[in-house]
Amino acid sequence: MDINLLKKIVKIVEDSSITELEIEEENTRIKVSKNTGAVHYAATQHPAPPFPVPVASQHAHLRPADEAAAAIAKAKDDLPGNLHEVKSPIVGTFYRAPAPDADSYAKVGDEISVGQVLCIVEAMKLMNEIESDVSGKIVKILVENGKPVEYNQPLFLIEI
Amino acid sequence: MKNESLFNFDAFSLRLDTEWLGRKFLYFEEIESTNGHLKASSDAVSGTTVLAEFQTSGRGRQDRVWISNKGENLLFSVLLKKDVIAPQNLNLLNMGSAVYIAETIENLYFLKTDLKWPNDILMNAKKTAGILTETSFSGNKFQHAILGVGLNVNQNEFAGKHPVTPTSIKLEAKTLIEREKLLAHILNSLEELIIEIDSNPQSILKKWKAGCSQLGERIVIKNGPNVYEGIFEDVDLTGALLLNEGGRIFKYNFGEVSIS
Repeated sequence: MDINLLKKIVKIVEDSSITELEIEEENTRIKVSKNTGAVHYAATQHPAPPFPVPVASQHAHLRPADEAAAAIAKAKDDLPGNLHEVKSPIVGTFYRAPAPDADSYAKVGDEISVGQVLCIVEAMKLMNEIESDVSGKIVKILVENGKPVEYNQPLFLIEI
Repeated sequence: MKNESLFNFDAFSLRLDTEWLGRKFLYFEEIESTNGHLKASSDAVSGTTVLAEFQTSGRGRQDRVWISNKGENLLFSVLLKKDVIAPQNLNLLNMGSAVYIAETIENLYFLKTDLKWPNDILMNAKKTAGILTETSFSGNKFQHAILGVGLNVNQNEFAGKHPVTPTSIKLEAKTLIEREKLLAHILNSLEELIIEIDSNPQSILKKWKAGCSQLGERIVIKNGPNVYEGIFEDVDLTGALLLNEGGRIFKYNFGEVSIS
């Protein structure tokens, strides 16, 4: 286990609103929890459905924090120097378009410039537009439309 | 009957008591959207306020249309940059603005208001105001927030279908409302909110909870075709709704809430 990665995971939990995080990978299992002093709920977040809403796939007790942490850990594996990650600045729901029937802000292969809107992360009707902080080409979109994202979760991989 | 009259800037300015919020004030008889205008001029100073008598493409969440008769209501947006609001406090801004606007209405007209999670203002179980806060981040660096408010003031009738039946302050107070006075008082209280978020952030959610009658009630949360039902237990520190579904607590940061 890489001690730096562990430190990063602890930092992510500290900086976020999640109280507990569990990651399982091959032979390693890490559990990080923090004492908030609040009543301890087994709080689970329902996944927000994407715009074209799938029928009868809801009410699964998804744990977005786990998915997010796994994504963070994975993305840290040898990220080449010419790749830049755009991460979510807040906890919320990831949307690739301004409205259900609208075109997406950006897609894989697009050449984008600094200041161009890439997506919206919505939480509690607060619409957060995430702009690119670099110029380059989108090589990967790491989150599906309508899925919950955690603080600092990578959303886009951009080749600079 | 229509209650249209154009906004009297002097009557407003006389009552504006702020240091910076609303001191730069832009007025339009017609505009696409007040939020959109500020988005395109984000180099303006914090507190810049845009008021329009009519929006040709007024929007709510997910680009839902917001229709409002010309000259009867208050449609305005306020630009707040990182010099006055920190990114970790955006949810407090979003929910707190509903609290402070509702308080202003109660104090001015002695009306009872109610809050619907997260930031609608109701009167008599009907919607009086909607707030759409849009923010901008460059990567993970916060740039600015635009607080957009649509407040039904003097409108008598609301055509079309609405998820929550609309009302206006005039319909509830049964008297014509002076929009200039109301807007000045709202901006005064929004500046107080910004100061309070900085000095006493815990008080904001406390006030929000005190103003929401749905807390503790059996509610439904609708999100597209999905319906979740349970007891509205609490909101967490980020303002997310905690729903007790048969003894298990689920956290929501999306969906439309109504009493079941």
